[in-house]
Amino acid sequence: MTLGPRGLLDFDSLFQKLYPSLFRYLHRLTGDADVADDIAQEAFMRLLRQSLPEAEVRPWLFTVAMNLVRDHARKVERRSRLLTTAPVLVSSTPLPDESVERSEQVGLVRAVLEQLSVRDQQLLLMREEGFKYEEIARVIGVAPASVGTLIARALRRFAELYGSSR
Amino acid sequence: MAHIEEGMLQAYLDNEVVARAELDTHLAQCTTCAAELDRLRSASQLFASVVHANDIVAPTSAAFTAIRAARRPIVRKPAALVRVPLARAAMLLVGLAAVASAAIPGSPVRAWISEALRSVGGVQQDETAIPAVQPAPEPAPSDERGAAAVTIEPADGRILVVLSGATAEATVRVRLVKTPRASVQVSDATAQSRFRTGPGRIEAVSIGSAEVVVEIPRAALEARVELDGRPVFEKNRDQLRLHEPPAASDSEFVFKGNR
Repeated sequence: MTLGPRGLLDFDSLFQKLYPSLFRYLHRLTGDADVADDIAQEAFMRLLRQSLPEAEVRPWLFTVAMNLVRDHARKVERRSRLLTTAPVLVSSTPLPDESVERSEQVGLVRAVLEQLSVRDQQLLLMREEGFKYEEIARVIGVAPASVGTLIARALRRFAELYGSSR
Repeated sequence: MAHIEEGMLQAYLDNEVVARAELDTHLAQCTTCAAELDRLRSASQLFASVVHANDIVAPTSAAFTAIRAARRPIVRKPAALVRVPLARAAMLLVGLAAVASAAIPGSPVRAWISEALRSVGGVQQDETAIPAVQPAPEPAPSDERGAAAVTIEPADGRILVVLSGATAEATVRVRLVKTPRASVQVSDATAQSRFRTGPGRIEAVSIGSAEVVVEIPRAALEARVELDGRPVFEKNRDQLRLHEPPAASDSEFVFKGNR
């Protein structure tokens, strides 16, 4: 099944199948639902201009999405360096009442994930999305034989950081 | 006994090895490797449970609608592309002819151009300004005088509360509520206090030293409270931003006027 100008129906079903996974991956990576949605939509818009075998679509989408995440991070960093007004106080105050515990948990997980390298976050999150080692290797740009070791070390680092943060 | 390398154990755990039987045999006999496999399994389960806890529902339908709208085809008009070059050529010829004619003393074209320049110069000397393009005005808000409390529905999940005319004694309490409507209540309202509302927007002007209670629905996608032109409270989905330290924070956020 090939995606192309005659493949509009294919795009629609691929979108329904892959968008939730891509959004979930991006949301876990960035911690921002709006950014995750914007980047996922942009990746699918770019997919419309491609003609790919179905097996290539998911790795392609996630590769494009990661490039967009990096672009976004660079823009955010550039913007914060150009700010001339006093920085706005950003409080990490969680929602009161029953959301306190959840908000603390969200903050804790983000804080731990951000201590991992971007590559480690990608490795672990792609693995959670069910990618095979060969696909992970292709997207991240490492040798397939090294993926197992990289994942094991990333998991160990995550467990250590998470344990020490509680 | 040689142990299984960490990466191989991880691959075994992830069903990425072909020769599982060999590894099964080793793991049955080697407590060190079996313990290491358990540690990897625990770390994997910890990661999965932790990231799953933060997941939210993907906005698939909304995203699909947005992409469909962006995929509308662009209508091209090939006839126009043919006409443009001819029109440009014609204008060029006319222009050249006019320049040539204007060069001739006493020519009517020269007189016409001179008159046109004079009239332009006259406009400039009179300094008749070209009116600036005015920004489209906001929808005229409804004016509710004398009301002590106003409630509205969010507009597309968004709420904006604008409070103005506060003295240093004014107190603004912002609360998150389970109800779907936003509200602003002004206690000890003065005769000058007024409410104005628009889609997803409440304005309370001339609040003086009153106590103002702002209730924001938890379900609101975005909400913002401004006090005399400065933002004090923002909500974006489940994230809050407080632009200045609130006076107290138990089940509400309290801000004072005129800092």
